[in-house]
Amino acid sequence: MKILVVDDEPDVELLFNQQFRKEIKSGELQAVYAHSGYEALSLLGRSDVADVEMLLSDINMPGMSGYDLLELVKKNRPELPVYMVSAYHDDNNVKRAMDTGALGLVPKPVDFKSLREIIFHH
Amino acid sequence: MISRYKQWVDNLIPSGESLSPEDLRKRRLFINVVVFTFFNAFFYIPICIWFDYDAGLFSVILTLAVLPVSLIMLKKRVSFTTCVHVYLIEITSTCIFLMYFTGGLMGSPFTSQWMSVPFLLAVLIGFRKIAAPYLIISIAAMAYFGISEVLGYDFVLDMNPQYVLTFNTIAQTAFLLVVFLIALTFDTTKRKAYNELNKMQDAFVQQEKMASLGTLTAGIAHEIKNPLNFVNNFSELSSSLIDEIKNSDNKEEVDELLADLKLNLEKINQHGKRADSIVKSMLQHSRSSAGDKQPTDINKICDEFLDLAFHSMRANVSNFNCSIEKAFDPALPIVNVVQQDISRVLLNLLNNAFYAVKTKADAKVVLSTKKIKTGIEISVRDNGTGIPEKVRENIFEPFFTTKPTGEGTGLGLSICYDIIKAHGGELRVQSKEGEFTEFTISLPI
Repeated sequence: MKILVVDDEPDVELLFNQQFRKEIKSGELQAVYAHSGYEALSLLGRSDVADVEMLLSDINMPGMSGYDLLELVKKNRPELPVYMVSAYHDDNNVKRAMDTGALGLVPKPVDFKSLREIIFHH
Repeated sequence: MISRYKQWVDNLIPSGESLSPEDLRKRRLFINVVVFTFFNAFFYIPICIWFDYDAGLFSVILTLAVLPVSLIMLKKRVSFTTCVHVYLIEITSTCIFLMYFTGGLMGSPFTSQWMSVPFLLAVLIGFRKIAAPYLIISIAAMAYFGISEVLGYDFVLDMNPQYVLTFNTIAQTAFLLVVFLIALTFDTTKRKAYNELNKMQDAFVQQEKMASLGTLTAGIAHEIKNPLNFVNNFSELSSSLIDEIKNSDNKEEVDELLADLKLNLEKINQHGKRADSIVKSMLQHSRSSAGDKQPTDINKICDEFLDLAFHSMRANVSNFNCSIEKAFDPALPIVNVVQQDISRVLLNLLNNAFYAVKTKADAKVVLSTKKIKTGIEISVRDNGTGIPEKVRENIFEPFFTTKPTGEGTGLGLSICYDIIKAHGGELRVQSKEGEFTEFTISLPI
């Protein structure tokens, strides 16, 4: 399973690497990280990342927001499952995320048990 | 009648200048002194005609013509000091002229009271330095005329000394009394009014602070939730790492897990401090007492408040998007400032910048700092709506706002201006309508 995680907080990478240590070690999970929407788009254009099977993106990021990224990704890769992650998980944001094409909105602080379920059994 | 007169006096003081109550008081007193000198001179006309003083009449007409000039100059924003000089030159020269041509010190009824004018200005208005040379010239002239008269020199006019003395004393006392009464009335009533005004202003300033804090709430919530997210996640992870360490026999793996555990604890500490600093900033922002200046890392404050302002706007305005550029000078020196005041200025300018670009497709806000010869400069530039030229000169005035009713108090920029002035710095604006706006703060080291 290969995922692309987009968040402007650099420590997200460390957190994911530790949370999914075993899965990453065993090769069950491969995680690629981007710190902005722009970086995510450019990574998706790279051949070694283009085969990601899921995108997890924060919503509030400077420059390009998660919603903008979601819209652009859905235009080019409509089949790619996308989950948004945000501290703002009110009804409006959930609806907007779903309407724009996301499969769901994962609330922050992230419950990694649920996230594991989402990643491996969505 | 009195209130109309006071209104007239206030109208002569140029608006738009941020004067301290003391400066305002000085200007009001000066105008009063000029006005009463004018009336005093005016009443001198019948006396001149009565005693057939041609020279007196000439000098009095000259005085009547010159006195309004000093007031017009004041109204036309000529420096206050220059206006006072014009007035004093006129009074002192007229006084000497009158003494010489109308009977010396004892022989000219109004002369010695005119002599008291520089003294009045020095004592009442506190313009000791300006009035001092005129006072010395007046005293020297009086001494010259007095001594000459004692020595028996007759000046142009000789009158019954008893009559002159009585007239002179009554006129002088009345003049001084009126000036002092008016001065005192202005002083106490205006000071009371100022105290009231100051209280009101403080209330407004506090209201403005709370209003800007209100717009921040969402930003603060987001900014605190992020570090808390890490604290929770890293602590949970650490707990499961300990379990793994307990159950592992492989030393290499244990070492690796311990290294991760240490890193996690560092991260918990780092993010805990981050949340703490956000709460501290918020508390500082709402605090009403005047803070003390302390050595401050301006780059750090800029970074912190840029994030807060951005996330606030993001939370408050749906679809808000903006690219942010930080251009912080790493060589920026530490500056002594009142931290919560400077952060308030930054927040205000940043909020305005984000507000200006909220409907723009390629919105961009640039926050930069740089070291300059005399201190430091902070610039907030946006590519938003710009400020029309006709309102640019008003934007620092209290209660001036272009935002729709209910969206702005009109105090934000005025408070920013006052804060920067109080730091001995400058707040400038450059803008082109439809293209950009750039606010630049310069602060001395």
